[in-house]
Amino acid sequence: MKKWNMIIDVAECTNCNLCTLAAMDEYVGNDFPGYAAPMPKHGHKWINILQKERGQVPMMDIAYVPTMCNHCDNAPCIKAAKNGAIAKRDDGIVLIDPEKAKGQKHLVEACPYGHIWWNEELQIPQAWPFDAHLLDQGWDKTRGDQSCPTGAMKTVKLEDEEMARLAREQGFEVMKAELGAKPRVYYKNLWRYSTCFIGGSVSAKLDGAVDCVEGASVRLSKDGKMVAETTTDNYGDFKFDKLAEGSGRYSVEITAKGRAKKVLTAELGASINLGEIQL
Amino acid sequence: MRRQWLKNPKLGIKLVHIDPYYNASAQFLPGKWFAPRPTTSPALAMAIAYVWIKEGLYDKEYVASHTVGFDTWKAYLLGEEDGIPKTPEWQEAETGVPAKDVRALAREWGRKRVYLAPGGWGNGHGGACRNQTGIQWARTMVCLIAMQGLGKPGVNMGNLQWGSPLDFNFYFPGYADGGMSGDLENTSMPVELYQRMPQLPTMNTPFQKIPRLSMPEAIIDGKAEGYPWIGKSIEHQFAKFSYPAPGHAPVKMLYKYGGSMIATMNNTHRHVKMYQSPNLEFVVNQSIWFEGEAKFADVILPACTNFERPDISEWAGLGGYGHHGQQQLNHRVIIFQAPAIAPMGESKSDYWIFNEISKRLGLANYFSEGVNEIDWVKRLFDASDLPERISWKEFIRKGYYVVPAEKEKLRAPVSFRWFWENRKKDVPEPQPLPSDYAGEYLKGLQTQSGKLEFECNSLKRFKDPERPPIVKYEPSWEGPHSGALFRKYPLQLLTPHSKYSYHTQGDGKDSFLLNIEDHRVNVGGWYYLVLRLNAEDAKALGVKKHDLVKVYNDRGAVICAALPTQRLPRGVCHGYESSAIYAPMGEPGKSVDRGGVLNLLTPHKTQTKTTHATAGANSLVQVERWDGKTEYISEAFAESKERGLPSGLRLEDRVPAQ
Repeated sequence: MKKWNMIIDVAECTNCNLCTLAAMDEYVGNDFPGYAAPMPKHGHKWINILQKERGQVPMMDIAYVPTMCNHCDNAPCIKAAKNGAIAKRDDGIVLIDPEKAKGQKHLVEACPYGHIWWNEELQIPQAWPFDAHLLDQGWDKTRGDQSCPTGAMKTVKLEDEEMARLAREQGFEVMKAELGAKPRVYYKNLWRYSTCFIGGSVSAKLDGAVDCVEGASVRLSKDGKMVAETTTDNYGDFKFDKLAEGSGRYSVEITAKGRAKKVLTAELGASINLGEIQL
Repeated sequence: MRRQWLKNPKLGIKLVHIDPYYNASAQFLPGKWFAPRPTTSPALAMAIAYVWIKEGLYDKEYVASHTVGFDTWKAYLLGEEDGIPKTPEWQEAETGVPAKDVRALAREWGRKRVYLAPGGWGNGHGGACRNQTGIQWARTMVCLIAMQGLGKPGVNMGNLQWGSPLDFNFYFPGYADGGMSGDLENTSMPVELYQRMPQLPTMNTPFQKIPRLSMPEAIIDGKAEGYPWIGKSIEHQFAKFSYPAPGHAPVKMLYKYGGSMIATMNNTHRHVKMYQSPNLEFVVNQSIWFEGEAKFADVILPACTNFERPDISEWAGLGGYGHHGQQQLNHRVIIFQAPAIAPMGESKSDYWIFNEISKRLGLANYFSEGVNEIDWVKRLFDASDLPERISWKEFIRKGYYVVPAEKEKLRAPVSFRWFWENRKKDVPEPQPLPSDYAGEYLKGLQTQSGKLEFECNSLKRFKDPERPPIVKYEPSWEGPHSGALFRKYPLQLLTPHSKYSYHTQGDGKDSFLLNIEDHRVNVGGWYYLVLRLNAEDAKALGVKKHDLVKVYNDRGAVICAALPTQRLPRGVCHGYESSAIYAPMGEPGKSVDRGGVLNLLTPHKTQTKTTHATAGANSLVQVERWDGKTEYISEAFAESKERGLPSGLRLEDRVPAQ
């Protein structure tokens, strides 16, 4: 049976917030019995965009990551719920029953993704319901998907095998895979958010002026082993990306024709712009 | 978002972003980022031109055939005039951008076909042109593209935001095309709408005008002077005018729609003072929202939103004000604004309000022409080309009409290609007017020579020391060269248009936008505007993410939620202007504002004495952690004496002797 999934492309999200505004427009002040009680005007982020700045001025980038209830196949919240307050549909969507879930504040902590929100006024836990009330009416996409101007947020309805194959081929990731919750929200280019870079700008003095060095060889090593190699562009810039956060000490060796070799170390932590490296 | 195709790896297009702030385009379209200090970009650009000259990396043939005056500007760049060659090293001291990078950029640019995208429209704009060196910047941008061959295949300028192939032969009037105003003098109604929708002309007989930036001075001091913007000819800009105009009474009443001036104008504690002045005897505010300066009104007429009354309009239809604004969108979309609910509370539609006022003046029949709002909507529908495509019934049932795209063979040709090819102009633009051609109609540009002018013939004719015939770099009068002022206020504040609202429209009002953390942050129950600081500067100030900070100068003090970031170089901070919330914590003008009105801090002095160009996008400020104290005195309120009309002066005294 075909089931619902979301595919988020981190490289295309601009934090325009049209998806979060669409969710507010849909759920604030609106009651969808059987699906969701109204979302409070302030305080809940059923779609929540995370952000990460990587690097330092002027070598940096920023990743925006829309997150929402993952509609997990192995949902920790379903296990923690009493009276069958949370149930998974055959089409993959997980819904919190606004009636049955009343008073179950512990469900907020049950979600490892921080996507169950407590409605103080109504005394119920709430999460993004995948716009199930719209999909059941014949919509083929969520409101967030519809509002997204770049295609960063896409709704797909596929057989689980088909979705798994797509995820494998395109290198999709899910959040906190190690928990085994089996989210149905997949991320493309998540490396923009979850990995680091080491970069820098190579220069040298020539005829009294300092110039960018193009075509210098830069080698990245860790524990004596070469990790990657590249050459500098016309700005003398180099960038080694997709390195693990907090992976420790690296060595950067720069070789340019007619210049003495230069070796630096960089400690990850978070992304590092080594700045200008004058040979 | 239409720029997304620039990321297509198959095209291999390299991008360079030049902006003190790592803006939304830089985030979305990865490329090299240059972060010059605000107001210094003309220097960066001149250094690029210097490298091109020294290394022969510009189109000499084009400069010889399509431009005039290059040798004069070249001499200036080489330092033959002032002894200062405009080298990459020279600009580094101004901009903070390393000389090596500018040299590399100049070399890369000079060896390729490059599209120059200066500035941007819509949300987030209001930057390089709107600060103290804006005129210099605009001129140098044209000089750069002139050196590379504007109009050659692959060499052009714009901002890649406009240009969708829309059918502009389909007529629907824009928002400044006159509507039902009957105003033949101050709207573009005579061009087309008056023929299609004849209506009773209205005429405003006084010719008195107040320079917008000096409105508070006009009221408080009783006088002001300035220069107009009139698009008819460049000579019109020199038509200085004074307030009060001969034979006219001074202004005593202000009828204002909305509360946006305090949020969007410059140095707006002056406007606070203006509202309190006894010279402004009566203020009416017709407004949807009780925000901004609505609080200063004597009478408030509550207006309803466009969700509560019928209307008809086109998305981004700026006709009469801006040309083909719809090209920012993928389609032309004309909508019927059906009222979703009846006006709430005591609010009424603008039309109803104006009609009621007209009734009391015995002018209702002339105002309404005996018809109601929905009738006017239909009249406009009938005046447009809509009836040729869709019936009235179908239009109001469906709620919108999407104008089909232009046939490919009818699409406008590439801008400036005709100029490069020495042909007659073949793109549909309203300017230049026939009178602007020095030679044959449609041949050449709207300059005196018909060519791109490095040495402007027009400025040779009108001696303006602040705008020399060749563009020269003159540092900002409110920036790092400002001596004692800069030592007192060492941070440059950027205040572009808001990313999440257009002017004050979306901000405040307890709207959903409060929930966007990049816009406002809830600290202790109040939604503060975000102020971005360079991360190192923040550290030095002891400021952490979401700490409340006071950003201030002699003009104003505003409390914001701090956001340390890598998106700015050291010495620069950033906050969006257009705060709909004006919330002085004590007496207005004598206390800090926590609404986020950054325009309380911006300068109102025009870019030059002979123009009305705003320089508000950049100011000098200081930032510190807020200690909770609310006392602050704006320089606008520092004088103890109340300023009004000199006592004893009467209207009769102003009438010039016959």
